[in-house]
Amino acid sequence: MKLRVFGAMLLSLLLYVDTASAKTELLVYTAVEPNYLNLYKKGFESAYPDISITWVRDSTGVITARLLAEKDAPKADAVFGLAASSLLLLQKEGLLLPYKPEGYDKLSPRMRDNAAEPVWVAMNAWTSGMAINKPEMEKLGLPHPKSWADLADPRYKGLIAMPDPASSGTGYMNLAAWIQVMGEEKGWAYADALMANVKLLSHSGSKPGTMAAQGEIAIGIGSPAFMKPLLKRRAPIDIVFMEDGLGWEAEATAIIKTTDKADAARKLMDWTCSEAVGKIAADFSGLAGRPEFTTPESKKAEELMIDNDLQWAAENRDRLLKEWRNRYAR
Amino acid sequence: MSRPSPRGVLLQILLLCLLFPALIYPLYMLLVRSVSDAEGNFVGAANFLEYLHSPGLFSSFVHSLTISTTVTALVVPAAFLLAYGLTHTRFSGRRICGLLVLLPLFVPSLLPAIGFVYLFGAQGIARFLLCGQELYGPLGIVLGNAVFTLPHATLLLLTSLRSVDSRLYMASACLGAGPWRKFTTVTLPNARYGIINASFVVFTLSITDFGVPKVLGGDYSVLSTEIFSQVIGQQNFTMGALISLVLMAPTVLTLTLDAWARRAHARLRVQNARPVSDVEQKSSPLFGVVCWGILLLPMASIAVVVFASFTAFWPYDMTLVPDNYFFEEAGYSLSSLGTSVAMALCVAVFGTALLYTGAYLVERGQIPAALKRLYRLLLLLPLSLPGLVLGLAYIFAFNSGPFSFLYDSFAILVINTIVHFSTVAHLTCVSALAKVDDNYEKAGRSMGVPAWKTALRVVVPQCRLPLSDVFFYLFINAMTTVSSMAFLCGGKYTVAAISIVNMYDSGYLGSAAAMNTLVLAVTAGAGVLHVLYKKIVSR
Amino acid sequence: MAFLEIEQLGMCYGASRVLRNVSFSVDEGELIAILGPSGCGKTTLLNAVSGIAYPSEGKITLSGRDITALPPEKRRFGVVFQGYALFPNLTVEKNVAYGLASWDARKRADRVREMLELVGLADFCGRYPNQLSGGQQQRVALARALAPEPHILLLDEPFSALDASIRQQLAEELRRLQRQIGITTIMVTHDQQEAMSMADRIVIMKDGRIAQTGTPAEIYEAPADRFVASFIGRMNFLSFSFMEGREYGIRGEDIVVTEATELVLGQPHTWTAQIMDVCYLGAVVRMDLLLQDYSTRLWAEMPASAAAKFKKGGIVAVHLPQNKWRSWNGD
Repeated sequence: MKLRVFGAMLLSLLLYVDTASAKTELLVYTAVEPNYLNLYKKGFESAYPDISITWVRDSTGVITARLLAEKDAPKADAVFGLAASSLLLLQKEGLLLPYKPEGYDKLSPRMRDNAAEPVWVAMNAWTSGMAINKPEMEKLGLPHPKSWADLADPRYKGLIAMPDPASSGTGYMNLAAWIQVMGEEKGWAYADALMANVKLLSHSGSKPGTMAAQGEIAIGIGSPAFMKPLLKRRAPIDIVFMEDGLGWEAEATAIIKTTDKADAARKLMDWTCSEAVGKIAADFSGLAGRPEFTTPESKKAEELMIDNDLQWAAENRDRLLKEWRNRYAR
Repeated sequence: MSRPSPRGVLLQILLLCLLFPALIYPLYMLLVRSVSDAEGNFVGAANFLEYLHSPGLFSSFVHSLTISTTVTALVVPAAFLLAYGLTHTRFSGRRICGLLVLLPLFVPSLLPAIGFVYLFGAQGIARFLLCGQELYGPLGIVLGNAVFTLPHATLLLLTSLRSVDSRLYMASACLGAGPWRKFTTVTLPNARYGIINASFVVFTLSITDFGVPKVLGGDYSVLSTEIFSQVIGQQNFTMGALISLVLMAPTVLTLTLDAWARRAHARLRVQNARPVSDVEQKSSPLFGVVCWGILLLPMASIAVVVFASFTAFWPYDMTLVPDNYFFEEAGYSLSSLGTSVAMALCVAVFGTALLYTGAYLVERGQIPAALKRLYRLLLLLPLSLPGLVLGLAYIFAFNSGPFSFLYDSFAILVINTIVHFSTVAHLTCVSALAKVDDNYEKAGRSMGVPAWKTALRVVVPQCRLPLSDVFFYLFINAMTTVSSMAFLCGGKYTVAAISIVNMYDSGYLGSAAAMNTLVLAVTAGAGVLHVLYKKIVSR
Repeated sequence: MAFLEIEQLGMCYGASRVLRNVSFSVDEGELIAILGPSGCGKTTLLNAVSGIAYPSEGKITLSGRDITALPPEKRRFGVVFQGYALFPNLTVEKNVAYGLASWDARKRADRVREMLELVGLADFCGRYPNQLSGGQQQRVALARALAPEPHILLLDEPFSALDASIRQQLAEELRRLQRQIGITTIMVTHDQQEAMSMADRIVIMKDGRIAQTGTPAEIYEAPADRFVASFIGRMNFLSFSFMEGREYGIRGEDIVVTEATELVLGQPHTWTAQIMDVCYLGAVVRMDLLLQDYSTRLWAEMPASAAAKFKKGGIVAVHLPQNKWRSWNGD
C-alpha cells in the first residue's frame, strides 16, 4: 500500500503537468542578464496582468543554438532580449513574424529593423569595453590602455583576456567591428597584433571582465554593461570605453512565426518600446532603444559606436570565423 | 533451461522497448546528423573530412588524447599507492583517510576545478607552487581531472588489492621471500587486471569530462569543449554531432580492451580469498605520509571552495558573509538545487527499480537466451557514451518526431541520467543476484508459489545492501553530473550543477562556490543516511 | 633433547585469549597431529610455530636455539596452507621452485624435478594451478614446501577440501612419504580418523589449551578427561546411583551383550536391556540398547557374526566389565 502511494507521488513528479489557467500563456526565450530579467518580468506583468510568461533564460549562444535546433518545430512564442545578430540568423531561417509595434517610431533608427515589414525592435544596446584591474596594473607599473590601438602595444603582452569570436557573440562583435572599420587587410593585421598580447580566449562574453575583477587577468575585454554588477560588488576595476570606436550589439525582441498566441506576443513587442523598458535599459547599459532614456554618461559611448551593419556581420560570419580559425587555432 | 515464463518474457520485452527511445533512437539520430549537412541532406563523410582538415578542430582530438594519457599516468600510480597503503599497511588516521579519498565523488567535477582557481590562479593563495606555470590550459585540466578521477581509480584498486589472498603472502614468507619479492610475485600479478581496469576507467572519465576543461581549459580546446563550442558557440550541429562520434572512438576502444583483459585475468581468480587482515598489516609511517600527501591536493581544493563561499569578494574582500548563498543576483535560486534533488531521487528510485528488474530477468528469469544477450549488450553501451554526447543525442532525437512530448520535460532529465549511469548499476545488481542462492524460486514453485512472488518476497530483501548501494550511486551521480546536463538544461529546468557552470561563467564565483557547497551538503547528508541504513540492516 | 620444543606458548587477539599455556615437544622424524574441534586454536598454534604469528608469551626452540622471534622467512619451515595457497600466476614448476631462488639454476631444476617425481606429478610442470584438481594442487603444495629442504613440515588441514574417496588415499601417501624422507612433521586436523591413522603422537586441544598429549593408543585407552573421551572414538557415559555421583565411561566395544539367562544376569554389573535399534555397518554391528531402568541408553559394538542372533526389540543381557570402566579426575 505504502509503495503505491509513494509511486503515485513520484509519478506525478515525473510527469509534471502544467495546469491550465485563465490567462494567456507565452513561452519566451531570453538572454537578458539574470538580475535584469526580474525587472522585466515584473514590469510586463504589471502592464499586462492577463498574460503570463514562462521565461527560459540562458546565454546568447545557448538560446540561439536552442532556437536553431528547434527550427523544425519551434517551441517558443517569442524571443525577448536576444542579440540582434542572432535574430538575423533566425530570420534567415524564416522563423520570425513581421510586426510593427506601437512606439516603433520612438526608437532610434539603429535600434530597430528598418525593413518595410520589421521583424525586430531593440530595448537597448551594449558596446565593447574593457575592465582594467587597478591593483594588478599598479604592480606592473603600466599606464591603463585607452583605445584598441593601445591594446596592441607590445608592453601589454600576456595581460589581456578576450572572448573568442568563434564561440561568443561579444567576441564576434569585436571582430566584425575591426574588419568593418579598418577594412579586411588592416583589420586582420590589427587582430594579429592584438592576439600576440592575448593570454586567454574565453567561451563566454562576460568571463574576461569577471576575470579582471577577480585579479585573474589584468585587462579583460568585454562589455561594460555586464561589468557593472562587478563594480557593485566592490571589484577594484576601471571600466573603460575604447576611444577609437566601439563595436556594439542590440538586445532585441521578435515574434516566432509559428506561435498561436500572436496577439499576446505582439503586446510584448509593444511593451518593448515602452517607457518602462527604456528606464531599465538606462540602468543596464545606459544606451536605450528610445534615445530620451540614454544616460548622459553613455552619450560619450554612443558617439563612439561605429556604423555597425548587422546584416553584413551576419552574412560574413562563417567566412570571418574560418579565417580566424586558420590564423589563430592553438 | 525450463519453459519460458510469459510474464517474464513480456517484462523483458517491455524493458527492451524502453531502451529503444532511451538509447538506440537518440544514437541513431546523432549518427544521422553527423553525416548530413545543415539542411539535412546526406553528405556522407564530407563532415569528417572537413574535421580532419581544419587544424583547429583536429587539434582538439590530439589535445584530448594527450591530457587523458597524462592524467592516467599520474593517477593510477597514485591510486595504487593509496590503495596499497590502505589495505596492506597501518598508519595513523587510516580509516579517515579511506573515507576522505571518496570525497571528490560527492561533488561535481567543477568543484575542485574552482578550488584550483582559488589555490593556483593569478590570485591563488598557493600559486607559487606552480613555479610560474600557467594554470589555465593543459596543466589546469590535468590537475582537475586527476582530482576527480582519483577516487574512482582508488576504489577499483582497493577491491583488486583486497582480493589478494593473504595466504599467498604467508606462503611466500615461509618460502623465504623478502618484501620486494612478495610485492613483485604476489601483489602485482594479482592486481594486474585492477591496474589495467583502473587505467581504462581514468582515461575514459578524463577524456569525456566537460566541467573541468570548461573552468580551467582557457583556450586549450579538448573534444568536450569543442563539441560545446560548435553547438552553442557556432550553432553548427552537424559538426557537433561528428565530434561526438570522434569522442566515442577512444571510449569504445578502451571498453573492448578492458573486456578482453578481464577474460585473460579470469584464470587468476581465487575462490574464498582471505584479504590481508588488520593484524597482518605492517605499521608504516612512510605510507602514512605518502597517503595523506596524495590526499592533500583534493582536500585542499574542496576545502578552499567551502571557505571561499563565505567570503564577500575573493580576493579583495575576505570578510565572512553569507551573501553568496542568496542566488537571486546571480540569476538563480535554490530551486535549481531542488530540481537536482528531485531529479536525483527520481533517478535513484526508478533507476534502481528498472535496472534491478532487468538484471533479475537476465540472470534468473526464464526467458529465451537471445533476449537476455540483447539486453546485456545494450546495457554495455552507455559506459562508452560520454554524457555530453548522450545529452546532444537527446536534443536531436526529441525535439521533433514521435517522442517530442518528452522534450524539455523533467522526465527527459531523469531518463537521460538513468541511461548514462545504467551500466555500472546493472553490473552491481548482477553481481548481487549472483550471490543469492538460485534455489529459492525453485523451492517456492514446488510449494505452489510462483517465481515472481518468491523473487519479491525473498530475493529482493536478500539484496537489500547492494540495492542501497545502487540507489546511492545513482543518487550521487545524478546530483553531481555536469556533462549529461549541459545540453538538456536551460529550458524549463535547470539543475544545480549547470547553475554552477553558468554562475561561474558569468563571474559570480562566490555564488558558484556556495551552490557547490550546498550540493556537497546534500550528497554528504545522503552518504551519512546510506551508511546508517547499511549499519541498521546488517545488524 | 627434543628437536622442537614448545614451552608455555600463549596468544591473544585483542581482548580474547586464543592460546594458553601450550607446551609439547616433537622429536626428529616424528609426525605429530594437533587435533581439536573448530575454534580450539590449532591453526593459531601452527601459525605461531611457522612464524607467521608472534606469540604473546612462551618460547619455541629448535635444536636448542630460541627461534620465537625469528620471522618466517628465516625459519626454513615448509608450510602447506589450508587451500594450498599456490601462486595462481606461476606454473607448477615455478611454484615448486619459488623457495629455491638462491640456488644455482642447475641444482634448482634438478630439485624441482625430483620433488615433482616424488609426488607423482612430473608431467605437470607447465600447468597452472587452476588447471589442476584439488588433490593435484595439494601435492604441488607439498612439493613446494619440501623443495627447500626445510627443518620441519607444517600442514594445516591438508585434506579438508578434498572428497572422502581421495582423502584416505592421499593420507596414506603422505604418511608413506613422510616416513621415506624422515622429515619432522606437524599436522593440524579436526578429523580424528586422520590423526589416529597417521600420527606417531597426538596433541588434543580444546579452547586454546592442550587437553592431552600421547600416542593414539594412549589417548584412546586412557583419555585424560571427558572431552577427550568423547572426542576420540565414541564413549558411553554412565552414572548410576551406586557410583556415588561420579561419572564413568565405557567404550561400545567393551560392552558384552549376551542372551538374557539367569546365570548371566546373576553376575555383577549385568543388567537386562531392550534392543532399540540395530545398525549393520559391514564388519561390525552397532546396537542401541535401553537398560532396564528405562532411562540409560547405551550403544554397543560387536563383530557382525556375534550379532547375528539378536534382533530389534529383543531383550538381552548387558554386562559392563568393571576393569573397562574409564574415569578421570575433575571434569
